[in-house]
Amino acid sequence: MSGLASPDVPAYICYLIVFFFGTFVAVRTVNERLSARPAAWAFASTWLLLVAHVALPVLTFWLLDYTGVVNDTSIFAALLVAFAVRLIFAGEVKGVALPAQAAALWKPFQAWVEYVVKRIDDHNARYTERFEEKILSLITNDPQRMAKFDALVQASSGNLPALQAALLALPVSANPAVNSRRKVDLMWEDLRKAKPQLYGWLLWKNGIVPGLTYWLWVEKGRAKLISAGVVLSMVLAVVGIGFWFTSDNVTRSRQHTAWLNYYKWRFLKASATDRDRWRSREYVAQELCNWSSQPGQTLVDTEAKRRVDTEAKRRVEVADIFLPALLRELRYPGVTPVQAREILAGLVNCHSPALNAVYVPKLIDSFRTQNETVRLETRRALVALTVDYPKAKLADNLAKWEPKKDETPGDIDQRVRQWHLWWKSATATRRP
Amino acid sequence: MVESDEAALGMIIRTLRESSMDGYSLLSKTGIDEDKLVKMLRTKLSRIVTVRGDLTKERIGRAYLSIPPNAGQEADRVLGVLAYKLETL
Repeated sequence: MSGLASPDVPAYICYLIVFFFGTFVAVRTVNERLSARPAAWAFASTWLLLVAHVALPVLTFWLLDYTGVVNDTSIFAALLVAFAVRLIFAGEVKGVALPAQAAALWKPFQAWVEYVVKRIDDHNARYTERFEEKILSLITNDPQRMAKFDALVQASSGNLPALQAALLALPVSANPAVNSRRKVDLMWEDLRKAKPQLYGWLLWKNGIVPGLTYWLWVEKGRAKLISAGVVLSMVLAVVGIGFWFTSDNVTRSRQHTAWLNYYKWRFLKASATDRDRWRSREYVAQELCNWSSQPGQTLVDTEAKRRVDTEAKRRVEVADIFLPALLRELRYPGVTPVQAREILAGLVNCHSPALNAVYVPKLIDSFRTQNETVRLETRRALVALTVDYPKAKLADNLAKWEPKKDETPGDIDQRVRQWHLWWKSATATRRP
Repeated sequence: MVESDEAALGMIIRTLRESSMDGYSLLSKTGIDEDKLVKMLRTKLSRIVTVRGDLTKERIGRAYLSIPPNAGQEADRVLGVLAYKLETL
């Protein structure tokens, strides 16, 4: 929904919207698809179907963003995908078209859904038969239950004379158990036909079936127990993950690492919106610009020491996660000048000797693989950084170097070595 | 008890179009006997209704009957033909 006005919010919020609303829609879809299968949620296949239907809108949202059809920071796009993913695959939502190859995946997905539904049907049939068999055995082997069952069937029968005639016409065996079972089978058929919805409740109400058996088999008790177990596990998992993220409340390292990875993704994302780009720049600035504060030498109280330690750990995380990704992107030959400028601007705007020391040598090395436009931007960034090293003189041929397209690897190597020499002298001037 | 085959056919399709169900429920809701239901499921409804279970007079009550989404159009077409027949009778 690149062209549609929509509130622009962080991408993780949009993905959460797609996930939550997509889950509601998925539950509804699966329930509709499996309506009248009383024990459907008691089978693993049904949960597999649900997971697939929850994953579908999330993956579709990502794909639509990847192909530039919508932005993954648009609330309206997120809601549209969550609620109308089927229509999107059918090509019925104007302006939101999936690539033809992706749309073709819908048919195999539907075929797979059909296959799983058939499997669930088989499970359901076996489940119902096992219940029937259990009840029939219970009645056959218990004269009291047999008498109650006999009374219930005769009272409920839709065609009592036909039932009585059929009972009289049953073949007689020498084994009384066989005769009993045949009789119960016939009466069972009659009860199921006469009371297709109420038969279970009637059996329980008349004391033929124990309450727990009735609840487990007829009132979807097993499915309810399994559903409650799954929901509880998910809630516990969410609480557990939340606890894990917040349990290191001193350094907040896990949260910090997660945010660093998130903003690394957003900062380097080529198709991000202007507002999303701005949010990423703000975060980058916040992470990089506080490097200028130097730890004091006379810290005596533990709180201040702890704060300095935490700050140092955060810097290590930024140096491990964020900076290598930015420098790697600068080495990519296809990086756009705009993106290169943004990366370098982030570094230059937050310049400080402490931060420079982490990345400048690698930035100088990256001259070897950059295109000439990015080399020029990098050279300008390095010249700007000389302000932190007033005592180290930068040669004119480096300061005014205009990278060209036809520069040989030898020429570039010479520049790189000269820049390294400057860096060596610059760092020497900063040493106490 | 349902008299004509057309009426029985229409009732089965309409009932299953609303919701899938087991054979006992269908027999109870439509008032059709097992023989007629099995016969129709084997002939006129074979391309419309999916039967999960045994398609026999004795076991049809336990079978699970549904009209899958891809047969919905055909079911509606048959209902249309039946309605047209009733109007022109």
